[in-house]
Amino acid sequence: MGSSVFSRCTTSLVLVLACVCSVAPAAAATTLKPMPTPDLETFEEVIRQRLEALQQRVGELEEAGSDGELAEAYGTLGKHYLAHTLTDAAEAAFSNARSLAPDDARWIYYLAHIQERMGDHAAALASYKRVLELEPGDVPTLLHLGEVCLETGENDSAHRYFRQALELNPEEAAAHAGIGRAAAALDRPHEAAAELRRALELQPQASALHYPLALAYRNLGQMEAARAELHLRGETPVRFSDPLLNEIGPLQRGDLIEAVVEMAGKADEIDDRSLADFAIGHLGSDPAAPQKLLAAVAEISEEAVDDNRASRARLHYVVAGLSYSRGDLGRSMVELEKALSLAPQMTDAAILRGHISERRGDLEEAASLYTQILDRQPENIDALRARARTRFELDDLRGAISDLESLCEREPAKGEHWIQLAIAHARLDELDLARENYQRALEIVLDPAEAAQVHYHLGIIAGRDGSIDTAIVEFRAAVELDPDFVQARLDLAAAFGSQSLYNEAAAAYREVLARDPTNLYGWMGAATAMNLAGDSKGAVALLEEGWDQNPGSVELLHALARILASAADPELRDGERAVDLASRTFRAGTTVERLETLAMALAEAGRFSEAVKKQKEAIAMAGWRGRTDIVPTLEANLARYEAGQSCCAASNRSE
Amino acid sequence: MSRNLEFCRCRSPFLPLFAVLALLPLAAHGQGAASDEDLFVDRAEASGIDFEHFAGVSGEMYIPEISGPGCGLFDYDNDGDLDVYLIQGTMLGPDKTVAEATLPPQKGYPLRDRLYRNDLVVQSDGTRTLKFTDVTEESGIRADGYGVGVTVADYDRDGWLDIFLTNFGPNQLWRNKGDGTFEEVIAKAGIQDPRWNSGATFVDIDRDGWLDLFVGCYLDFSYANHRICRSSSGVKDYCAPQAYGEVANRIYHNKGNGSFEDWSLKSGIGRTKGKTLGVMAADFNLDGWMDVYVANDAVPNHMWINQKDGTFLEDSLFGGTAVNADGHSESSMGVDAADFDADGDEDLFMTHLGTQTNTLYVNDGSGLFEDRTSTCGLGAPSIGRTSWGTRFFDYDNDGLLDLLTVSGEVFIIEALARQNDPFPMHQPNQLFRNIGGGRYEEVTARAGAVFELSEVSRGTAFGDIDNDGDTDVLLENCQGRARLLINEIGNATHWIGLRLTAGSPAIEQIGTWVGLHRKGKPTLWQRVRTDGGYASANDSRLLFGLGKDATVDRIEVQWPDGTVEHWTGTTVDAYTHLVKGEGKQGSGGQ
Repeated sequence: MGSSVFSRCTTSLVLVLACVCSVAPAAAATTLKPMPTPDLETFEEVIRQRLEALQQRVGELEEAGSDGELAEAYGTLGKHYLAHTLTDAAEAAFSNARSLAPDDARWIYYLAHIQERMGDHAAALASYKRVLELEPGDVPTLLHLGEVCLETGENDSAHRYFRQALELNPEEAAAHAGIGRAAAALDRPHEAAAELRRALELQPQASALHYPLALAYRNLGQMEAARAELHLRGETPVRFSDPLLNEIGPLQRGDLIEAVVEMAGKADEIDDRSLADFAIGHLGSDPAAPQKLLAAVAEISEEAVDDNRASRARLHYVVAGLSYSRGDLGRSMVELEKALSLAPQMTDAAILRGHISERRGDLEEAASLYTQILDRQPENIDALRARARTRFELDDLRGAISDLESLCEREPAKGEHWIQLAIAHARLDELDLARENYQRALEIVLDPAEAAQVHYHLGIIAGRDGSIDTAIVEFRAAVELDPDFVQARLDLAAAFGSQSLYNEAAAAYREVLARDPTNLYGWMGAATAMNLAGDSKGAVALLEEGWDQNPGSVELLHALARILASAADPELRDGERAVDLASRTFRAGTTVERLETLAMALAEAGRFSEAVKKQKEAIAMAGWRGRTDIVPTLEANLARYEAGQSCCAASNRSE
Repeated sequence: MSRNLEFCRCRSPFLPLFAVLALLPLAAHGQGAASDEDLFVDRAEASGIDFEHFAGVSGEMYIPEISGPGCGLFDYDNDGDLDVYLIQGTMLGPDKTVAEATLPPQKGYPLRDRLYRNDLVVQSDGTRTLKFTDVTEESGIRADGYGVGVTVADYDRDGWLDIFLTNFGPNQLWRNKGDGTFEEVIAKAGIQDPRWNSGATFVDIDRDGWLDLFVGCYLDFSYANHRICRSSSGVKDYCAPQAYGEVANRIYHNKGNGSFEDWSLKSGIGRTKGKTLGVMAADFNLDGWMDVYVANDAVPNHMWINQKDGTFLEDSLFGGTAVNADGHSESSMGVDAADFDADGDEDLFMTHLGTQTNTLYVNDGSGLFEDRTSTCGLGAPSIGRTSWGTRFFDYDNDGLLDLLTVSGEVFIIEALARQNDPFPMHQPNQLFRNIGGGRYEEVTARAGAVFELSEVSRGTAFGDIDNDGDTDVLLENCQGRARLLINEIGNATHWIGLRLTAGSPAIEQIGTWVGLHRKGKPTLWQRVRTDGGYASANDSRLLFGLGKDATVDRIEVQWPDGTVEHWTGTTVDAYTHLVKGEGKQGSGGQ
């Protein structure tokens, strides 16, 4: 920090006397802080010029201005410094403004804000108190005083200030929130909960308040209420009207708009993507930013000067990026078209246009756009990744494989490329290549969940190859890595079942149910496996349990009806109940299997003529639905019913 | 029965250093030019530690450049004094060479981590001379990845401390062979991970006597997804962590045969992603099972509560340690847990960005916490400092746990950049004294000249480097010199040092909870640990400050397997070696 060239404290007595005569007498008695001279070189030209002009204005008024004018100039400079986080310089500027205009609350308020931000709470407290003397009853000041006291652990004082603010404005959510937080710090959870609830009623969007409210409930022993509040928790703080501080944001954003415009003309210093990122990062919350930027574009000459064309193209691209980040795809596309018409080689704009096509579901157009980019720039990895993704989605698996192979070559440590390549090969039934690429993926250390997925897919491939033992090994590896990988457990169980390892299958299905009691495949699979293992009684009990837990499940109802109608163990069979259950399955529609089960149940109940009728309906339906493969079985059972016999065969087919 | 070192020369490796210790004169170190009033004096260079960290800065603004390094203090050669381990960086960027560094390395030696052996000399009159010898080459350690952190424990229970290194890139596990050399065994141990790992801790999660390993992972960053960000004034700057994705941490179960099994998913820990920097194991709900606290950068922190069956439950929002009192996530870097208010449970302190305060969470004994930062006096002084390494430690041995925080920004400080500062992120460090009643005061101004330095500090390791009965600090700076902060005043009051082991060979009993009972005063509780702070390894011995009153009723030891023993008659102002099974059996009570 150096001394300012316009530091009044260094002014000679002669000059001061001259000033006294010519302008304002009060200045002679005022001692000002030396002003830091921030190096503005790193700022964009437009910001630098603005700040320099304000500095110059201060310098001029030091020579020939009144205290009031100079205070205003220092204050204005301070606000701009504050907008650009030149905090030290802002602090000095406001301090001088205060010295020159000690009764102007604005400058003291800004000074207090900086002191608060810098952690100088004692100074902030004194400054805010002075503001309050000048502006009694100023609610924002009272709220800031409360905040400072909370930060320093002076919770009683904080409570008092927030209470004063509330008396002045009973609907002030921030005051309620402040009282609540102070009460929490004072171990008064009842009061804390009440005040925080009131704050949220007044400002429901202040989602951050749900957290202190949750802790207040927790401390009151109301655990369920606490957890309910935690679910609602967000990061949006409670806000209050703060007119003076609200003046700072637009100053910064206004300057930033101009900075972006200026940066758009410096392609050699900042690339297109970084420029857009910068704008999105700093202007993303300003809804007026696109319009302001477009106004700036309009001011750039449309003459066919290369530099102008490039600047305008980049600004259209920035607006497109801002619009895209807000989900306004239409606006984004319009701006991209403009950008690309001005600068057809603008790669980032072209990629963004591809992304928009993807989000709109036009994958073919997206793939085509990415191809155009890659034709120009084969090394562009963003375009390559995007094209691989869209080709895959389009089922252009050969194209996707070609891109993925390039990606694997260029980013060999990225497991996701190898996995995607393997999936593409698997979808083409190129199982050896799929297996090979999955193995490559496994060589790269992945997150356990990802590794589990790879093992699972290897198991599926092994299953398709008929190598059930290998499939079992892979599925086991998957569930060991990720015990909650339900699909792998289901396939593991099915693999056991296909090897007639029914007890193992039943155990595997039970593992599924332990994790997901709503999984119907789990209930049905477990019951089937138990039945096939000879434990029909256990199977019935399990289905009953499953139905209890999933009372809306027609599938479980049907399975239960089927096993009650056809179990090998005569003690388990219950024709009348089976008829009742099977009849209820038709509420979900008629199928061959449901008709078949109802016929079985009717036969078991001794109602053969009805059984014959339903079985004939089943045969007819199987015929017109093209399921001729099951017709012989259905006809064999029909013969039994016509002969007055029930169907005692064990359940061997289900939906 | 107390196994005081004065009476057990045959067993204690510490004996030569402690037998004659009493109160040492402040000038006993015989080196440096400390003022009588300095609390700490930097003796790194004078004692032979000439290390300077290299961050690999090239102007590309790769975020790993500003995220390391940690450091370690541990007795690798079992000679009774703490040796020094310092993490080194390398050049960052694909195909970049050191010649392209904008801040070139200052030393000519290869860019590798360094191990310095402590050759402390203690004279018969108690005076001592600190001397360190660089033994990296002869140790066999070739740690030439981009280093982040170091974690130390005897994972294979052979009586020798081993070293686990986290990197931006593949980690390393160096097994101590017991002859002054190490071998790299990470593949054999089955714990390879090429991601960007950060803090880690060895912790016995299933009480089987074998230390398991929790490894934090920071960001989903790679050169391919690297971005350059800009400040609001348009200046090219490092990105915030929000620019990169979250990643899952890992926990490995020690199989007892030199290898580990990945329990990340089984335990539940691998199912939650974060941006982890600091990691700390402790028993937060006092159920006798070790839990793990994870300090995340810019997203909520995690507290993994041990369910005693190999699984953990993360419920830190309800527990009160995920976000600050106002419900906001903070950028947590370093973390420490200790019983700062002497109420028998472990509280939490963590360091944050300069735009936030550091945060103190006070435990109610059941694992539920309250953010008490503002009332304890630690909030306001931390504003404006981005802090990393930290620890509760009793620098003045008055029986109250103080705090050190070391700082350095993660974004360009434009005021420094405008002054053409080559690495414009430096900030001074801070010392806070516990003044009782749950309050702290900042004492940086009288802590010594070394606290007037402004550097980009990251890792800190705490321990009694000169074995004189007070806690010293090893400090590593990013793109700067390592510092050795020797405590000049701690042993002016009474203290008790403890080493806790079991079996033969003697295995440090990490996780042991030790209470020092005193008549009419609160019991002082400390846990045997090497973790805490930021990505660094600390002295596993315990050092209790007693102030002016040397009276101690008994020492209660709750071993990691749940058994409890008591010792009485322990000698004050000396280190004592407590061996499991040699105390009086008893039950725990706080």
